[in-house]
Amino acid sequence: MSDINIQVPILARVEGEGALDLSIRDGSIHSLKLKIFEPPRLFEKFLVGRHADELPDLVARICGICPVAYQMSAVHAIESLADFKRPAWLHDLRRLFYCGEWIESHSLHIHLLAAPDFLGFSNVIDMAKEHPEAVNRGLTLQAIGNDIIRTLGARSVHPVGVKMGGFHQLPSQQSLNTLLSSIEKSIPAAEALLTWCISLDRPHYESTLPSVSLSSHGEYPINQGNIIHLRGLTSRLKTMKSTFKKTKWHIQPHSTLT
Amino acid sequence: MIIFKQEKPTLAIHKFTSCDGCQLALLNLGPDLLELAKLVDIKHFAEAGIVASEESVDIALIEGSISTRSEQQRIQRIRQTSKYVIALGACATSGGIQALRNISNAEAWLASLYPDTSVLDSLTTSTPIEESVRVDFTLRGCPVSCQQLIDFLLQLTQKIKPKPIDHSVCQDCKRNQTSCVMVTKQIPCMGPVTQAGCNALCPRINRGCFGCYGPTKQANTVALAKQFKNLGMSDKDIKNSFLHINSHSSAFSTAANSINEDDSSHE
Ligand code: SF4
Ligand code: SF4
Ligand code: SF4
Repeated sequence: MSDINIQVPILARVEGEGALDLSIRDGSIHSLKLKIFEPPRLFEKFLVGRHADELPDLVARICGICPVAYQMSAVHAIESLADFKRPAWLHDLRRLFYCGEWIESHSLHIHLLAAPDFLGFSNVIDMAKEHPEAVNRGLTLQAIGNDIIRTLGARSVHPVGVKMGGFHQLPSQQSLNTLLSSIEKSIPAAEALLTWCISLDRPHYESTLPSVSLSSHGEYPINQGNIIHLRGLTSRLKTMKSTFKKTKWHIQPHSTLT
Repeated sequence: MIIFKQEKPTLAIHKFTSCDGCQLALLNLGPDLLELAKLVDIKHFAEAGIVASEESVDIALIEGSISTRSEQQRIQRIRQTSKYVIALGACATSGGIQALRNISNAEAWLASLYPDTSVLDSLTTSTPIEESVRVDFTLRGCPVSCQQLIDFLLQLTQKIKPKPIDHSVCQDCKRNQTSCVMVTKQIPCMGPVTQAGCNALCPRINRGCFGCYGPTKQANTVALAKQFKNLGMSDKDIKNSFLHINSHSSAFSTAANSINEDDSSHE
């Protein structure tokens, strides 16, 4: 059997930087190295000693594609230290804000990063020549996500609207009405996207690794909930570390779970 | 005079130490991204799936700062193969937020975070592109805005020398007729010393600017620090306002250095 050597110095269409070296001898993997050379930026250190009010602006810069995730984690962490109970309106607005990011980042990921692989193109510009409808639909949905973020955060990358306990300014009724009507108009596109994704040929893969997720009653959990695992484990966020210690799972010593 | 090697100018987007947010100014263009592809020939844009990092191009957009040895070498190669090198955003123009290590004990920081620092390629500094190679144009901001980048590329591809922005955020505030948050609400604002480009985004939503576009020309940081003190800010917080996303910019680092923090009675 012939040997296969694959060296990818720059992984394309991924967030961040990485490289892959793979060598196959006699039909089995001889060596496989995934190198993530994204350099450290040391947020863990320079955040120490900063004023809590600065956190939403500082942590956003961890990632330009999902800054809201970091802003939400930071405000919720500090608010929970202060035993701040989020009123229902704030819960809803932050959820809307975060959904905006999910819509933007998932649309980007599906169309610009992943779909070209499924359909055999090297990038979205080439893919658009043969699948203009799918690409335009993706870009439209990405724009809706960005509109939602912009309505609450003034800009879509590193939005500036979030603060401890709320938002710097609430959107006007008029801007929410405009947003609502454009969201409603895009629902058929979202449904078409779902049908299209299901139709893509995906490899069958089942993992045996223990996977955990958030779970929240009555809503898809993004901003709150308990940690759950298929085999029945449930933990509140505050007791997460001790719960994981009690499992027999191997946890890497450098993991933040230890 | 702007001269390109190719009739349809070739473009590369290179990532260094960054958050990917500035490249998003392109990925967020929507259908205009496909229009842009008609205007320039995109040769390298790894995140969009176009890879030819060593190819010689007319326009090289650089996102990110220099924080590793391999980045020091890579930026030299890019300079050699690119007609115009453009530093994109705070990371590339000032070292970015990760330049906060420059004024700390970065070696100790790395050692406390990584079990084995010998496998890391990480410098103890994060520096702007222009400290390594000659830069032809700079676009500020964390992130740069889509509009800013498109305006810039439209001018450059029409062979018009893009005009640098050198007025402050305050001037845009006046133009927008936003009432000053520092005067009317006593909210500290970095606008007077920050370069425009964002259309005074923060004051428009009732908050102070935190300087993400970096220092403007002739920034009077001494007067602003005095104003912050009058508003009741502690010396530490005043210092931290300058040591933020553009801490390595000389106007801001000088301002921070001149604040004597022994005066802890205010904290
Ligand atoms: S300047 Fe800001 S937005 Fe741009 S790459 Fe750096 S951290 Fe991200
Ligand atoms: S709000 Fe800030 S940027 Fe606007 S005028 Fe006042 S000080 Fe200047
Ligand atoms: S107002 Fe200041 S902090 Fe806000 S986006 Fe503009 S430059 Fe950045």
